[in-house]
Amino acid sequence: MKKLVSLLIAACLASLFSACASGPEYATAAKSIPPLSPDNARIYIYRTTVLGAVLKPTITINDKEVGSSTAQGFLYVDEPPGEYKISTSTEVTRTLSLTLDKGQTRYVRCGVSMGFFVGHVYPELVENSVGEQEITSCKYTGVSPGGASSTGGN
Amino acid sequence: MATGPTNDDFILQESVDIPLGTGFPTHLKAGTRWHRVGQTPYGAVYSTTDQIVKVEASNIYEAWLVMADQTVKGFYLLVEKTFVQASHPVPVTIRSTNN
Repeated sequence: MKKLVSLLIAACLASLFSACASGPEYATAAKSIPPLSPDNARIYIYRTTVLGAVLKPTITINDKEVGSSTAQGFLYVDEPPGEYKISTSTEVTRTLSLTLDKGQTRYVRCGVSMGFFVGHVYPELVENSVGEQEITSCKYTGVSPGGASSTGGN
Repeated sequence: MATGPTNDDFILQESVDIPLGTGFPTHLKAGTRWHRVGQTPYGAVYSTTDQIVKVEASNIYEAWLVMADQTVKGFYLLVEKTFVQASHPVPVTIRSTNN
């Protein structure tokens, strides 16, 4: 019986960790991320929590898919200044409305809350000082560090 | 919209939570500097670069502060361009930046 429980726990942990981001660490990926164009703004979107790791909702910015929210993962998007709505959907859609100024960098953290059937992933604007610190524990989940994920500004 | 300092710019002296009836009050930090950027029928609109101001319900909205007579009346949502009223007006302690 003990062995069965151990196996179940191991299986759960394996499942949990396989659901987490597997790209390069932030410190490594950051070296390949190009400087922000002065005409654009940059949004880093990240998720530190492993809670609800199996949930990988698509992230949209003004209805355009830019990637997925993965536990302990991050991506970035460059966009022109303006008004934006960042959304994630599980059983419900959660949206963050924010503005971007030229040359501005902003950090959006994806949190996870309880849902009826599945958890809800919600994007939340955080202070840059918080985002800069928290994102260092995440792994890059964009297409390729250095630009492919930065769809908006390219 | 004004861009330079105005007579109405101020520093919030004490932190305060503004109730919105959503279960997620908006926290305003002490020491934040606020700059008048416009006017609504509900009061003057102020922005700050010292903290993120957000209105949280089922979704989250970036916002500016709306005040009249040193009392917070609610928030102006930047993207939605609409006013959200506080559950009740909240008096705040401020210091003019011109003093």
